[in-house]
Amino acid sequence: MENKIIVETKNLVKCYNVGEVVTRALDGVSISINEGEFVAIDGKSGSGKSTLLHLLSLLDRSTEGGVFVYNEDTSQFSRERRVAIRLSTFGYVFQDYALIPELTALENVILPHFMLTGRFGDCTKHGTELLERVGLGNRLHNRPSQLSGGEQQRVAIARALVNSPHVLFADEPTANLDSDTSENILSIILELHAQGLTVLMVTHEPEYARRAGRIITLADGQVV
Amino acid sequence: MVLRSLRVGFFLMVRYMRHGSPWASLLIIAIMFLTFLNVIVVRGVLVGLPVGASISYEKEYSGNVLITPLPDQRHIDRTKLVEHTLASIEGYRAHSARYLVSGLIRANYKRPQKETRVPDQVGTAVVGIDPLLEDDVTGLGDLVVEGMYLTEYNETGVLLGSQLLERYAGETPEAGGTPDTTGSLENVFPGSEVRITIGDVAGTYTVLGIVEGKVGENSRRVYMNGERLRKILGGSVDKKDEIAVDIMPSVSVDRYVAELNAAGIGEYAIVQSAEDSQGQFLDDITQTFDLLGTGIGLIGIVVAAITVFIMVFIVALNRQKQIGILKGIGINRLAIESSYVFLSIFYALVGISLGLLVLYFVIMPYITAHPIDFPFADGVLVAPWNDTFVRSFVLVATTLLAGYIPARMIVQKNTINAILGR
Repeated sequence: MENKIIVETKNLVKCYNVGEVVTRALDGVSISINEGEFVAIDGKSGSGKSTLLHLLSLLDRSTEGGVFVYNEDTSQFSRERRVAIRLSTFGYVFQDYALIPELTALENVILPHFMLTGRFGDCTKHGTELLERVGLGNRLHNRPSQLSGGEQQRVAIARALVNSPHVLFADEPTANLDSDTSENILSIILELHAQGLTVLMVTHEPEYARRAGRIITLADGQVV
Repeated sequence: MVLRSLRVGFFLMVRYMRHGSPWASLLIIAIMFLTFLNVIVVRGVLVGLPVGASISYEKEYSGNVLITPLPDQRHIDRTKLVEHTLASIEGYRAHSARYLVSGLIRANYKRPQKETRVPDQVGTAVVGIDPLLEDDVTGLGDLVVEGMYLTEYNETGVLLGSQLLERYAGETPEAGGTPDTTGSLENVFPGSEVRITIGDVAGTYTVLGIVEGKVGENSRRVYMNGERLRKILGGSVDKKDEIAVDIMPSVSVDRYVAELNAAGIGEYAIVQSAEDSQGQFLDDITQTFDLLGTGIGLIGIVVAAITVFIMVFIVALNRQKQIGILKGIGINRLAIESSYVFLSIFYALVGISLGLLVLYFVIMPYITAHPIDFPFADGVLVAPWNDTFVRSFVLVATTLLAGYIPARMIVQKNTINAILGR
């Protein structure tokens, strides 16, 4: 069970064209993430950490090579199927929280669940439980602009968990937070991992990376 | 899945509405409202002109049914029989039979004439009527704008159409010209004496009143007592020239006309509904104005569609990052696109609903009570429900498309590029 591969990359290449200059953000990355693992991806700025996370979470498409989810080559997947995997199998925590400003904390959290189940009543109950779990039971009806950075990130984590994902992707979840709040966020992630959730976290903080079970270090788009 | 996506789209739309800019929403709703009025009212007023003229013609001149001589006859043969038959058919309410003859009317004939001055006279149609019946059928009495109406015992009084008078028509006989028979009379008022020549018979009459209506026939005629005119003509009471018939509102005009023809009236006269008696001309004008109104309305719809397109495009462009985030967390394209389509439909429906309220509860009652005063008609607003529904549907469909296209353009964008604002 521990060795079951959830997400895997094979010789992954991602190039960006800036004018006539081609930049290789990732250059032949091959990694695999096992079920139940907590993997930290670290590296300096511009090393390709976020790009790798975007490709692994199917937010972006590779230039060459492939991303495999449960051994299926996702390069053959339709756009709709990739969206469906992001909805039901993956949870994603963005660096800048990425909440929808027109929605309350609860509405932000339940939106993916509403999309998955179509039942609003169940969603509300489930979303409330999740927000209580991350300590925001009293902020259900506040909009993002009325929440602090740490609170917004906790809402983002609750949203990522709402459809009981198999993998949680976190892109520098503590980057914009002070140290106490960062510690709080990290403890939530560690707790989720302790409960069996597979976590893949990008960070440039070596201290946080060391808290993961495994560290993948990138430099110039390659695993070192 | 489709239904679920639409539900999520609706959920998002409600939130966008609730927390979006109220001014932007008000602006789009105002545009939809004005577009609706443009589409319905402009066309309605344009079509309302010939329709109003037609209504005036029926109300003031022809009645519901107009009976005229056969093409090869000068008069309606056996008028008494025709009148008797009219009254015997179910739905009949009243009729007015008229004598009609051409004549020459001259004013200021006692004034010394200089050699260079042409006589103040005009050629006109002289109509002999039963004043009570005519007033009952066409409301001629209500069209008297100066003086008083004709009574059935007054054999020396006449009513003059306003367009025979210079102060209404604004034209005078040219000095030094030939005797004027198409111009108008100067300084004629109720109480003035005029000389009317019919055939070889000339007589002096007192102007009792001035008649002004929307129908040209009324305003260019001279009305006198029918019995008096018959004596002048030396004709028979059985040979009248025009019969205007009024029927009960509940009765179909076409059915009444058909029954008259079935009763054999067609052998003595032409029987036509008011609509048919106006000929193809009015139909052609109505169709032309309808086309014109539709064209103007279409331009309005295109302008509204472009406006909605731009507004939704700007809104969607401003929400580009959010759209990327929605896609990133697994919200599918249909849900995101439908939220903007629902938004557009909402704007259209609110604008149209406001338009319907204003149209049917303010504009229509107002124009009905105060018709637009055109020289040839009381302009009405023609906006039948079925036509309004079709045009509203077209507006909604256009708005839907105008909302969908920009939303799709933005949603098509690469997810991570949208999130990162690249």
